[in-house]
Amino acid sequence: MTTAVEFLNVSRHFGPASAPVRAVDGVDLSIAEGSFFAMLGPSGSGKTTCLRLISGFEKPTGGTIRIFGEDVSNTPPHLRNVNTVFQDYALFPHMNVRDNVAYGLMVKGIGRAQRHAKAEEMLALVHLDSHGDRKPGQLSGGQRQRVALARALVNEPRVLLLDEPLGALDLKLREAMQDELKALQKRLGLTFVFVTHDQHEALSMADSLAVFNEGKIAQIGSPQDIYDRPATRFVADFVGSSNVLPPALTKVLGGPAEWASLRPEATRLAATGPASGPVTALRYLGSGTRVVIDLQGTEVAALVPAGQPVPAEGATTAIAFDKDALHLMGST
Amino acid sequence: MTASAILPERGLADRLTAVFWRRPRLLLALLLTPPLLWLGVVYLGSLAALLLQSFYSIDEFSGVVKEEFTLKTYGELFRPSNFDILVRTVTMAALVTLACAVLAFPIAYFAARYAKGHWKAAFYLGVMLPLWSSYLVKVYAWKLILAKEGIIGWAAEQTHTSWIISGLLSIPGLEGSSLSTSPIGTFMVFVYIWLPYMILPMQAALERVPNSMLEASADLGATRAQTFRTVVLPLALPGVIAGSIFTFSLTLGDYIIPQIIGNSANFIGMAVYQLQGTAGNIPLAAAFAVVPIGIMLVYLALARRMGAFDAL
Repeated sequence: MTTAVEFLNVSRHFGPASAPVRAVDGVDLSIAEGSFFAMLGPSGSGKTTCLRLISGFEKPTGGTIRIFGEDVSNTPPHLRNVNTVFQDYALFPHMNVRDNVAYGLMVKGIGRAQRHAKAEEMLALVHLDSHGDRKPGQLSGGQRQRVALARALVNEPRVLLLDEPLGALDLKLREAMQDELKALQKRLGLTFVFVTHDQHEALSMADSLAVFNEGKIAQIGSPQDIYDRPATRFVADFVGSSNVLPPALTKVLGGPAEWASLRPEATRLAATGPASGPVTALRYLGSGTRVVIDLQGTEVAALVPAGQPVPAEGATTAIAFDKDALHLMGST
Repeated sequence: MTASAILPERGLADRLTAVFWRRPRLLLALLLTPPLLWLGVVYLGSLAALLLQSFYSIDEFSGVVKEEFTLKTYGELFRPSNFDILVRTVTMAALVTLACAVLAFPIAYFAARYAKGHWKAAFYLGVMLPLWSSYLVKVYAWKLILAKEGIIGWAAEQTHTSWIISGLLSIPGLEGSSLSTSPIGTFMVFVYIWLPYMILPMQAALERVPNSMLEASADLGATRAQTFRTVVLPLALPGVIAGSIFTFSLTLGDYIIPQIIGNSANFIGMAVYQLQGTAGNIPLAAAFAVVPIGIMLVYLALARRMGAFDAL
């Protein structure tokens, strides 16, 4: 399989060399052609800077970036065959929707009739045909998002970059757009690189994802890898609603003295067990109830499926789980 | 004791606030009345009086104003000596506006896109500082700067580039014994004096163009020149137009700079000053004064047709 985007020990430092801010710090990654790749992380973790390194709006202070095997270190953004859907959409307010979408063709010198035809085609792709004459200001947030998508696709880029494109939409619209984006990506067979801070979004949409923390990649892998087998405490903490167990507690629960993650779905309540404690919080989720138990000072959540008895807040209970549900993450 | 649901009034301010809450338009009316009176009566009133006067004429023998409606006075504007004044003034105003726009753009662009913190403060100070000192002081200072013995002449002599200045001063129409007695000097001083009025609205307009829009343009394949032409300029145009209204109309109406610097050729402002003073020809002075207003209206209509205000 061809590699669409490749980072070789890429860094982007800001500020003075004596005390640099390491926005991106020695990142290695490779994104396969035709994949839906998510960059996940809290704000300030370097994921957006990585995206801007691909588009060319940031220059690496170290390392090499290759797009389809070509070193793009000296290539300015306008000569890179990648396009971006911006977080704030960045639609041009003085142009109508059709001219916005046709912009990439206009600057290439393609004639009016031809570029408008292609723009209409793109608008149809995002279900906005018949909106070409409107100004961006007359559209809803979701429609603007689609225009931004159509505009970024009109140049037929080899990689499409999406910077938190669904962040400004409400929950229902966001879920609809997630499905639509995924379907579009499959249909076009295009490489999508998607930046988000929403773990559910990343897990549900991506073929593979990188979890960023403080300018470095904490873990890279498939959603299943990341969710079931987090490499570090940070990943377990950030990605899942997973329980993170300190070494002492892991040992008490029958494992080695290492940090471990334990998914609430794999955790059951039991009358007796090696560790027990009081129930500190209950959250009704519809499909079940999330029960939080204080075990030796660590909050551990268990998911009780609907229909099973739920203890009262303050009641003492123990937990049980299958041995292989415990994922070990080392002793540090 | 439980607290009451309604808090006690503490005094007049509370009561006034309550009145304004009950009648939201009252506050607006109170705020708007004084400026509207000022604008309506003092400004629009005198404008109407001016317009009225321009349709009167003067009796050439007695010098008395005839209060009869006629277009005769406007006809006089087209006499060669008067028409020269109009052409000279409008040409100067257009050139000054163009030069101001070209000079102001990089400064405004820097201030809007790059300057932060101290640099921003330095920008505002730098642009506003000249406005703190008297207009006359600045103009006379320029007279000395541009004089034959002034710093420009001296610097040219030291660097053996006096030939450039003498070359410029020998161009027909721009002749003068030094820059300060040539229309070139008039032009330079106009540009200097009105430049801040171009920079500030331009900077405000550029500030409203988000960075991501410029990036989106580059991302889609546009060169810097294309981005400037298709994104930056259209979005900054309301500011450029606002600035050019200042520089254009201020130059059209000024009567001091061309009096002190240049070859004493008449400008509209000077003509108005002389006609209403020594000559006592109020109708012709009024007709002259209406010209800049007419030109500005035409200019705004053109700008609007070009779509200058679409991004507002």
